[in-house]
Amino acid sequence: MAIDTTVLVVDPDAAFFRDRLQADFPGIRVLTALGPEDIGDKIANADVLAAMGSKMIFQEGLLERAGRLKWIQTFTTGTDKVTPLKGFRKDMLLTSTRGMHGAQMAEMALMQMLALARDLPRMLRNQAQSKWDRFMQIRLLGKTVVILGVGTSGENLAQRCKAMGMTVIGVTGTPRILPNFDRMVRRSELALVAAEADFLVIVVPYEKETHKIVNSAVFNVMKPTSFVCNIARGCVLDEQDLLVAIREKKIAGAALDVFDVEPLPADNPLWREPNVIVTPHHAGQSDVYNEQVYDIFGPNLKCFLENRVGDMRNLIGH
Amino acid sequence: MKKSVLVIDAPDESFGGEKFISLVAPSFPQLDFRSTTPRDGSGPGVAEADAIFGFAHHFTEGMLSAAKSLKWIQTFTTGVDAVLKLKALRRDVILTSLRGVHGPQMSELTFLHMLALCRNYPRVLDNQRGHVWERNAIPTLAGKTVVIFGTGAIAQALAKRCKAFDMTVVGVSSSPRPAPDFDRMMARTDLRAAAALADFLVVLVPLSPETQGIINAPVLAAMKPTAYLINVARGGVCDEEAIIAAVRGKQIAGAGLDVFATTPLPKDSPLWDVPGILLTPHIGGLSTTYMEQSVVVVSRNLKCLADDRMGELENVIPH
Repeated sequence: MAIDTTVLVVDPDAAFFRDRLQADFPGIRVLTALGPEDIGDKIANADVLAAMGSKMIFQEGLLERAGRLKWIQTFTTGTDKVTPLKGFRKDMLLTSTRGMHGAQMAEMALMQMLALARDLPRMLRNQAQSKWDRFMQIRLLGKTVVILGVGTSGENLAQRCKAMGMTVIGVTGTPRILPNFDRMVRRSELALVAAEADFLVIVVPYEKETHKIVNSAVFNVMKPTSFVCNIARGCVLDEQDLLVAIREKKIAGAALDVFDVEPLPADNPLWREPNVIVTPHHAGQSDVYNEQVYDIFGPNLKCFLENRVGDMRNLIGH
Repeated sequence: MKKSVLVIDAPDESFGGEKFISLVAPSFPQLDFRSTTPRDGSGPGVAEADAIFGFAHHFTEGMLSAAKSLKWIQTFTTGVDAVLKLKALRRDVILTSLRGVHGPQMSELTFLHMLALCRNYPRVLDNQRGHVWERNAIPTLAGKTVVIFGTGAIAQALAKRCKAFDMTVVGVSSSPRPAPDFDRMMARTDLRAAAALADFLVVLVPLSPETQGIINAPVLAAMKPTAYLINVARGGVCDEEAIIAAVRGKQIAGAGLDVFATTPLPKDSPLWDVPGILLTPHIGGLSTTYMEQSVVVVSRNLKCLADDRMGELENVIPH
């Protein structure tokens, strides 16, 4: 089978993956494209498609041209841009790189929590003006973090928050006992447990059930000193409700890495809202991203070539 | 006669003398507490004080000269270098620090510096001001090596957190011995070799004649061009000119500084404006709950004073 297998990698760093694949799987054929405009008819010959699971790449019509395609490996945790496509057939395998982002997602959340608690924007403004201005610093120690979403990111975050001496509460559709969580509650209890949060961190995947579940009902019970961080998907949080909550001082501030519309339009009021830190959806990024992707993609390809589909990591049922 | 404790009022540290006294006095009716605002020893209560409590840098020659009955100094800081350098500090006065309180806040500030430096937060926030959506690769802390210069209570608190971030932790100590959460311990004489290993070199060593200017051009030259220096200890430990040169010359990727040779940092200091240098205004010890934390530690020592067990004071600094 290996001899006949063609892998198409669509990525600006496709050469990295081609080199690794050719070294580890000498028999296979590797095609590369730097972006969607570069795919052309290579897709028609591909048995395997490996790419970021983004809307930019997974456009309508792409999979209709993929007559031989048996397996899609996304370089993202989310596969929500792939599954709704009309050309996505029942017999296609789909795997994600869920789990690769744990460290960077957790670090991003800690960055947001520290920046909000200590008002890093104010410190940077002061530095730009050569202004020595000491103000009180809120510690993470002893505070409570409510983590909405208990997947790999949530677990990595809980580990770091425990080391900071925080109380950690998980909110999940499937409560279970996990290390580093002091408590675990059901998603239906979100609007109750939010009242205890000094920090509410959103790392839950976007799906129908999580559409705008962080809304005014949640903000209204939160402490006026509390902060919200969203590094999951924009649509999990109601941006209008958030703006109201911040302006009415129901909560102290928010750090947002993801938005309803991305890139965030230049005229969106979130950009200039005091007490909101905007970052450009970079939570999942790292300086070793390709290596982290390949740590999942490589072993998955080995399973695929050896007909051990059941052993593939992050197989998405559909 | 009641023993008398004088507390140096420190509104500039959000540490009011009267507030502090209101928290400890009810537990010690046998002691007499008084707060003083002047720091030159001119205020009332100095001459008869058995003990003086205050931030190390608020003690002065005048204060110690006037304190004729003084037996004990308790600082509200971990570092006591500002007291030790006073000529009026008599040999028989016991000096105790507030060791063990600062670990969490110092560690958290160090993480803020590590994360903000490698994520280039000044640029991220500039982009927010300009409504610019610009995505860049971001280094993870996981897998990186942090070299902690100093292995005291604060360093241990930091090491524990770095391990939870899946970092490799190397300690540099004048008396290297294994400690929890340190993967490796190196001798201070090997500082340059240790610096060469660092993705982050964090300075947490007290200021003393041995450590004055010890982070100098040769140490910085040993570091990787991708590495960051973070100083949250005392400004005097680092050669500021050398840091500016190393960052400007791209010998290191950047520096996060919370402490400076001169505090407050003078308006015309070149440090303010070096791209790649992140400044915070000596906030490592600050915490909204600092006074409450201090009361817990200081109360144990006050009990020793009340019971005449001065030999059992905690955190005594020999001098």
